[in-house]
Amino acid sequence: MASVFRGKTLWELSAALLYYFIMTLTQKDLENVLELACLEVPQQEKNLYLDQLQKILDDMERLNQIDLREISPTSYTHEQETFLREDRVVYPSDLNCENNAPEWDSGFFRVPKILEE
Amino acid sequence: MKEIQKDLFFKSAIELSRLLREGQLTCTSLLDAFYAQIEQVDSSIKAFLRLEKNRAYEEADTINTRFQKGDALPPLAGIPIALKDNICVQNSQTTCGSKILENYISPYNATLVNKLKSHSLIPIGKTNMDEFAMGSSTENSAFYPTRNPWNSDYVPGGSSGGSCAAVAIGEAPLAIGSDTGGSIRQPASFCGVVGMKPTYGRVSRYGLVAFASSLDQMGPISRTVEDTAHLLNVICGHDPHDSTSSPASVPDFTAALHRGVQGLKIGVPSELFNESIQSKVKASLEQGLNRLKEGGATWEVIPLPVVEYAVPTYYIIAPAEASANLARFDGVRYGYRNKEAQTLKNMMKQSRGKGFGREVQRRIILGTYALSSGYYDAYYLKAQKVRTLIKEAFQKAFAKYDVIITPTSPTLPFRFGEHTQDPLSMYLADIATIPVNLAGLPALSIPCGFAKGLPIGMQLIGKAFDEETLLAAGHWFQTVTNFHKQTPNVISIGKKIKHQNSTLNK
Repeated sequence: MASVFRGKTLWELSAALLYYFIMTLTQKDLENVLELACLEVPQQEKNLYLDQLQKILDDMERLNQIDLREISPTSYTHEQETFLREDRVVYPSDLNCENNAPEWDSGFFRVPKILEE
Repeated sequence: MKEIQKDLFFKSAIELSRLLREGQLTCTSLLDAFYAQIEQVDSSIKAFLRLEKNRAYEEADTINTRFQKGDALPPLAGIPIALKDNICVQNSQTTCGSKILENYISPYNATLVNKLKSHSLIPIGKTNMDEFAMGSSTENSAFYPTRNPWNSDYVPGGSSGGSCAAVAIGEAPLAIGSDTGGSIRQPASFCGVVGMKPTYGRVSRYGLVAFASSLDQMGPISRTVEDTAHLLNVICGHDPHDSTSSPASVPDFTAALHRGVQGLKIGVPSELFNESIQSKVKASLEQGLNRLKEGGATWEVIPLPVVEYAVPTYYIIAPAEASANLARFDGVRYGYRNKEAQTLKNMMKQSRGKGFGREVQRRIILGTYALSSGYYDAYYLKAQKVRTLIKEAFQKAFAKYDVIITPTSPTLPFRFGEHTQDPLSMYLADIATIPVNLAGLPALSIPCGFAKGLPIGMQLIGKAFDEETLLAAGHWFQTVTNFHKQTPNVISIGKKIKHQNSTLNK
């Protein structure tokens, strides 16, 4: 373990320590993300995901080797002007809502109660 | 007719087109032949999720009549084509290989489908895929895995494994796949067929179920590069329904086919041409490069170190975009709903929990985490910056070279289950294809060898909107080699499969 720290500057050690705390996915983090992602999964799956996701996040640590201070981000590779298209009316009946909806009632999507007691 | 049918399945689309025009075949007899082949082999390969026989025969009748009348029809008129099941066809199921969309009926056609129809191609069915195109083996399909036609112990690659396997085994002369990180090229390589991801923006994404919107692109799968050029002519072009669709003019891609490779300058990234590449793959690639040299091209190994960062960059950006795109599957308007839930919130959570498979859930979690408060800068913003570096590195390389060549996959096809317990190992296998999507470039995978009876693919990467150079080089390569003419042994597959099915089901 000590060999990991050998030859590192104080700055590098601090950065590594900070990274450890930020990048370690805890059970609490996972619960929070599952809530944000609106996903319910059994505990057994959570344990599996926690293990697998940590390995993936550890691999992402490689990106810290690059100096990105002067680099601007890319969202889309080819910049182009936006364009408009002609307006066309689309009716709900064109969208096959009735057949695709899990529950459809008189022109509305029916869902379970929205407010919890 | 019977004589023709025997080797019909492995003819190129352009050869079939000639037979149609000469009156040696009708569109209907062509459909009969391909559906008969599907009947014979698909219970073993499982390339298709669904067939669209009634519609296909109706369209064949119409096109037959037009042929008989002597109408001038487009080059691929009457040719059957298979579509990946994340492409919307009006009034037809589009499942994305997912339980959550098992019963979804699309209300409209993808722009690509309209283009196929206006060129009189005949969609024959929908092919299997990794759920929501997330995977490299087609093992993540919610329905069943597809098998590699060359050896059914091995995966066909993914996520467009169904489309590539269908072409390889002669169930369809052409197919369409989608490619977000290699999902056309890697299965094309594993199945020994030609697969192309066009430049981002070349093909409209309207009607392609979104996975990662800044990376997704549909493209052709075929036996020959010539067929690829013809199919590109059909599917490319600006579409006002897709705000990222490029207004760039579309050339006649077939005009570039006979340019040859004289004077072509090729760069080979050392990071994808070292000991990390399986020796047999590297040897085949080197032979391929030397073949191109005999045609007048030059090649040299170049440094492109930033490609080594492509996989972690991709696995931040793609899941982040996916987590947003897949938020729409909530059990309210379409798709699977857990009807036992008592409240709206629980209904959504449980529908998504039960409707999505493991790989999709993993990526939604990863993407949500990367975008969540406090982690955005550490992951998503950082990945977008590395994306800039990857794009610039390719631009710099293309200032000196016409084409960058790599193996499509660093390894031969792998066995079922080999990577399923360790997703990261599966992700790392995409190292050669992912940088291309991050940079928005076109790339072509063509067969360049075999080892242990399994195909090997060579990836040609081009400048943005320069598909023509890739097609010229790929076509020249196919005129001097026979790898693309090899076909899997259809009869031996059926014999092996009974035993394997029982093993796989366990």
